[in-house]
Amino acid sequence: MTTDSLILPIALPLLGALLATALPRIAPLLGVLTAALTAMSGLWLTGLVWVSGDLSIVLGGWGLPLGIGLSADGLSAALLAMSSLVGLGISVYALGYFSGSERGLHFWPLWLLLWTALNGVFLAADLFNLYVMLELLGLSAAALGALTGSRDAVSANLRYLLVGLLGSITYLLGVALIYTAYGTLDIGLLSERVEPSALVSTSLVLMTAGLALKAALFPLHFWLPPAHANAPAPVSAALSALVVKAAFYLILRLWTDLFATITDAGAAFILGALGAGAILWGSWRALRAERLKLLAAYSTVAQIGYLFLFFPLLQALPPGPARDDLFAACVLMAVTHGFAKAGFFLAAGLVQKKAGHDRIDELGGAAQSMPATTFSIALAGSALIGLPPSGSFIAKWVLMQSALETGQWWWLIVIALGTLLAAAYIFRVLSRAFGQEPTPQCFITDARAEIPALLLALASVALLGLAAGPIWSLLGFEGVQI
Amino acid sequence: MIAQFLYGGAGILLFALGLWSLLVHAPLLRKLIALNIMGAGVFHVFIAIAHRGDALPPDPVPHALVLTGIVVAVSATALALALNSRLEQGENEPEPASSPSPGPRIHMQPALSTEPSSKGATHP
Amino acid sequence: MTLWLLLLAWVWPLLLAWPTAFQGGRWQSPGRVSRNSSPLGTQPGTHPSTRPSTHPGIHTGNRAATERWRWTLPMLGPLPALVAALTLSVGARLELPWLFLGTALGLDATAQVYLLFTAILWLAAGIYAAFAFRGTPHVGRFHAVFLLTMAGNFWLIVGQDLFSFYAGFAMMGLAAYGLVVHDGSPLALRAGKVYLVMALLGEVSLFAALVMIAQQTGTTEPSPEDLTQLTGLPIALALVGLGVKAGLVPLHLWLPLAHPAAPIPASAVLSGAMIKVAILGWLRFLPVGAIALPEWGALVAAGGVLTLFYALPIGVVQSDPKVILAYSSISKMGLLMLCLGLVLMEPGLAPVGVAAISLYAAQHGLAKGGLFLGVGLRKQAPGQPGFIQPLVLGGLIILALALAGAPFTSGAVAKYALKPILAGAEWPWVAAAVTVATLGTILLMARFLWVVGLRSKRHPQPGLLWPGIAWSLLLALVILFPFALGKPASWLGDWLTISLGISFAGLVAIGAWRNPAWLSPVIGLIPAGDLLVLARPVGRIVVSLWRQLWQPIDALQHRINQAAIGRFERIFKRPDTDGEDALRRWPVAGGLWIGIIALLLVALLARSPLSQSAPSSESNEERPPPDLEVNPGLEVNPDLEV
Repeated sequence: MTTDSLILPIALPLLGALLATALPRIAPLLGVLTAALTAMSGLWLTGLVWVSGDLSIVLGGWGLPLGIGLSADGLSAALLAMSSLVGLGISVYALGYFSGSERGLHFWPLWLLLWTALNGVFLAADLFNLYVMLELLGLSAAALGALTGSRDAVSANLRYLLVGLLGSITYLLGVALIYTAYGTLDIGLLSERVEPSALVSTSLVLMTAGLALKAALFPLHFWLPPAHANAPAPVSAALSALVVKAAFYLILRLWTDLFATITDAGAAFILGALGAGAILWGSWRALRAERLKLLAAYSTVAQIGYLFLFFPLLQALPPGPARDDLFAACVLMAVTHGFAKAGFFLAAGLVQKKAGHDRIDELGGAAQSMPATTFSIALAGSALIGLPPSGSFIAKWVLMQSALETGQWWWLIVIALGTLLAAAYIFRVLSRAFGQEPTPQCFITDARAEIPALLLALASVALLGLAAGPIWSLLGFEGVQI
Repeated sequence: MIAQFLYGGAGILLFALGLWSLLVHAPLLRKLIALNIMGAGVFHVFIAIAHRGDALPPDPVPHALVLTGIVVAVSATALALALNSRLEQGENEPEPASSPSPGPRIHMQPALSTEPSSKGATHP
Repeated sequence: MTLWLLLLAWVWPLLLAWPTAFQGGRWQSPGRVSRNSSPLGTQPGTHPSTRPSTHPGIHTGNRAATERWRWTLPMLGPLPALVAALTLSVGARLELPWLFLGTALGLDATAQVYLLFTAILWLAAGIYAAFAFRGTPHVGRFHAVFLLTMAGNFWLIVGQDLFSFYAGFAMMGLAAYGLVVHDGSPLALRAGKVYLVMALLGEVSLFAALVMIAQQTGTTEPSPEDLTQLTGLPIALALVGLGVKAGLVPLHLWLPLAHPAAPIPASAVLSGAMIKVAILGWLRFLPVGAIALPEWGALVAAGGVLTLFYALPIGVVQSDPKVILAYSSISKMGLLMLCLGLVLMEPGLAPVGVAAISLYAAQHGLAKGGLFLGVGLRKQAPGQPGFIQPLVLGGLIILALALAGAPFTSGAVAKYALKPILAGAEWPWVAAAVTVATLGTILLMARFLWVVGLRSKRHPQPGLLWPGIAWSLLLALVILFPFALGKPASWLGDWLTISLGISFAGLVAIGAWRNPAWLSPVIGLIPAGDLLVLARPVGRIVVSLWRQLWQPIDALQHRINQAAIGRFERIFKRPDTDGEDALRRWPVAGGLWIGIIALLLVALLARSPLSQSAPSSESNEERPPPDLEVNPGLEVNPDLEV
C-alpha cells in the first residue's frame, strides 16, 4: 500500500489532464480539484519517505530491467514536496488569472500534463523513463509558454522546444551508451556497477550536456529569458520555479549518485565556473532588464548558477557530515528558489495585469496600489538575494563555508558579487513602491490571486529558513554541523 | 560484429550530421528534419546495441525504447509544426505593439501547410 | 518560563508587523481632520500636500473598529524586549535548536545594557510614530517597516550566535531603507539609494566576515578566546562591514543624508539605537580582552580619531538641525571607536573598558534619541498652551548639555567611565584630543540649539500630547542617569573644559546675535553628505583626465567599435540592442555547447586512466585542495575549441 502511493503523484494529474481535455467546460474545476489531490498525494509521499525511508515499486508486473520502476528517496521527496506546494499555489492562482478567458481551457490539460511529467522526473527509477518524462515536460512546457499566442511568445517557445529536443536527444544518446556498457537502465543497479571507462565518461558528458541545455546553464540559457518572460504569469512561475529544476535534479542525481565514482574535480570545476558565469551574467542582465518579468527570468539564470556552484565543492569534500550539509544546502537552495521565484512571477503577473505592462520604471502606481503584491515581491526578493531568514541564506552560508573549507575561496567573490547584484535588482523594483500615490483601503485587493503569491513567497522566507532542519532529516542526514 | 559497429557508427554519424544541420541552417523545417535525423541516429545506436551475437535473439529492451522514442519524436515534431503555423497566422495579421523584449532570432520559413492540432500534439 | 521573553522580544514586533501592514492608509481619527503640515519630517515645501481627502463614511463599522487599535501597535512592539531587559538576569540563555540550524538567545552584560536602552528608545519612538502617523497615507507601510526594523534590532542583541546577529542585522538594515525613503520625495529617494548601496556593501562584507569567523573558530558562538585564532581578513571585513553602520569616516556618507530624509521617530532610532550595534558587533566578533592586537587596535583608534574630528567642523556649519545631530552622532561614534581601539591594544583594559563603552553607548543613544524626538516637538500646535514650547526648548538644552558631558548630567558620568581607558592608553595625546573634541561637541550643540531654538523651524511636527509625555520620560531618564548609576565623583565630569567650551560658545553666539552676517560665509560651506557631494566633481575631473590621457587609444577603440558595429549592421541589418543577440544565434550557442561538451570530456577522460591505476576513488577525492588549482587551466574560452 505504501509503495503504491508512488504512482499517485503521476497518475492523478495525468487522469486530470485527460478529463480536462474531454470535458473542457468544467476544466478549471477539474484542474483545481486535481491540483489539490496531486498536491496531497505528493505531500503524503514525502511524509512516507520521511517516516519509512526510501520507497520503490516496479509497475506492470515486469521484472526490473524491463518494467517501469518508480522510486523515491529524500532528494526526490524534497523536490516532490516543492512541486506539490508550488503547483497547488499556481493552480489556485491560475483559477483567478484565466477566469473567463478561452486560454484557460487549453491551460488546464497542458498544465496537469506538465505536472505529471515533473513528478515523473522526480520519481522515475530508470534512465529511459526519465527520457520520456523529460520529453513530455519539454513539450507541455513549450506549449504552455506559447499560450498567449503573441508572436514573441510563440517564437520564443518554438526555440525553447527545439532546444529541449536537442537536449533530450543528446541525453538519449548518453542513455544508449550506458546501456551498451551495462545492459540496464535502472539507476539503482547502475550506480552499483558503474566503473570508470571512456564509454561511461562520454555517456555522462552527453547526458549532462543535454540536461544543461534544459537547465539553462550559462551560456546555454539563451532560450530562457524570452520564453519565460513572454509566457502567462502562472506558466512563467511553473517554468522558472519547477521545470528548470527537473533538469537540475537529474544532473545532481547523475553526478552525486549514479556516476559518483567517475566524476572528477576538473569536470566539476567546469560546471562551477559556468555557474559562476551564470550568477554574474544573469544578475547583471537582471539589473539591466527593462521589464519585470524579464528581470525575474534573468534572475532564474543567476539562481541556477548558484546551484551549479555546489558541484565543485561536493566533489572536493570527502563523504561525511560536511558533505551532507552541503548536499542538503544545495537541495534547500533549489527548493527555496522554487518557492521564491513562483511567488515572484505570480506577483509580477498581477502587477502586469493591473498596470497593463511590466516596464519597471513605470510601475510606481501599480506597485503602490497593491500592497500585498508588492509585499510578496519584497519577500520573494529577499529570498532571491539570500537575506536571512530565507532558506537561501542558510544555503549560501553553508556554501561559503564549504568553499573556505576546501580552499576554493574564489567562489566567495562570485557569491558576494552575485548577492550585491541581486540586492541591486530587487531594490530597483522595490524602490518603485515608495512614493505618495494613493493607497487602497486594504492590504489584499484580489484574494484569490494575491494569497497564493504571498504564501509562496512567505514560505521561501519563513518556512524554509526558520525551519530548515526537516530538509536535513528528509535527506537522512544528522543535524547540521557548522 | 562488424555489422553491429557499422550500424552504431552510422548512428553516431547521423547524429553528428543532424547536429550540424540543426545549428547551421536557419529554416525551421530544416531544423526539424535535422532533429529527426539526430533521433534516427540514436535509434540506430539502440538497434546496434540490441544485437547479442548470432546465436541469441536480439535484446528486446532497446527495441521497446526505439518504439517509444519514435512516438515521442513524432509528437514533438507535430507540436513544433503547430507552433510554426500559429506563428505564420500571426504574421498575416496586423501585429500588436510588442514590448521591447529581446526579439527572437529564429528565421522561420513560412512554407508549411501541415496543421495538426496542438492538443493532439502533446499527447504522445 | 521567562526565558521565552528572549524569543518574544524580537518575534513580537515581527508578528505585529503583519496586522500593521494590513492597516488602511486613509483612515483619520475623528477630530483631526485638517492638518497643514507634513508629519514626515521633511522640509515643508518639498512635499506638496498629498493628504488624501477623507471620507469617514466609506468605512464599514468593522474596519473602523480594527483601525481603531492597529495604529497603536508600534508602541506595543518594544514591550517584551523592555520587560526582558528589566527582569532577566545576565547569563539567561534560551536554546532553539529548531530555529535556522540551531540558534541560541541570551543576555550577557553588554547585551543587557544594549537591550535596555534600545527598548526604551524604541518605545519612545514607537509612541511618537503611532501618534504622529495615525491616519496619514501609507501609515501601514511605515509602521510595518518600523516594526520590522525594531525586530531586527532586538534580534541581533539577544542572539548569541553568528546567525542571529547577521539575521537581525540584515533585517534591521534593509527594513530601515523603508524608513529612510518613506517620504518618497526625490531627496528621500536619493538618501535611500546612498543608504542602500552602503548598507548592502556593509552587509555583504559582514556576511563574509562571519562565515570566515565560523570557519576559523569552528563554532557559531565564538568566545573571545576562540576569536584569537582569527586571521586578518575576517577582522578587516568585520571592521568594514560594521564600520558602515557606525559611520566610520569615510563610510559615513549615508548618515548625514539619511537622517534628515527619514521621519522624526525613524531618525531617533537610527541614530540612537541602530548605529550603536556596530560597537556591539565589534565587541562580540573581535577578540576583545583575549589578546592584544596592537596593529588593528591602532587602526581602529586612528579611524575613531579621524571620525571624531572630521565630523565636528562639518557639523558646525550645517543649518538643518537633524543634519547637525547626524554629524554629532558620527563624532560620538568616533569617540567610541577610539576607546575600542585602545581596548584592543591593551587587553587589560577590557573588563572596565567594555562596560564603559556600553554605558557610553547607552547614554548617547538615549540623549541623541531624545534630541531627535525633541526636534519634532518644536511646533506650536493649535490650542497648545503657550508654556509648552519653552519647556521643549528647555528639555532640548538639557539633552544637549548631557550630550556634551556637562557636570551633573549623564554625559559627565558616561565620560567619567571612559577615563580609565583614555588614561591607560599608551598615547598621552589621546586625553588632549578628547578634551578638544569635548570643546567641539559643545560648539556643535550650541549651533544645534541656535538653529532649533532661534532660527529655523525645520522638521516641525504638530505638538502631540502623548509623544510629548513619552519624550519627557526619556528626558527624565537622561537626567536621572547620573544619580542612579554614577558615583558622586563622576557627577562633575570635566567641568573646566565644559565651562570653557560653554563660555566660548556663548561668546560666538553673542557675536552672531549682534552681527548676524559675520558667520554666514561659513554656514552651508559644506553640504550634508560632504564627500559624496565632492565625489561628483572629482569624478568628472578624473573622467576628463582619463579622456585626455587616453585620447589616442580612445579614438582607436572608437574607430574599431565603429567598424565592428558597421560590419555587424551590414551583415545582420539590425543594431545590437540586446547584448544576448549573438548568444541567441544557433551556430554561436551550439558552438559554445559543443565547446562545453569537449571541455567536460577532456576533464573526465584525462582522469580515467589515473583512477584505473589507483583503484580506490576516494583517494582522488581526498586530494589536498591545492590540486584543485590545476583546474583553472581548463577554463579556456569554449569558443576556441570549436
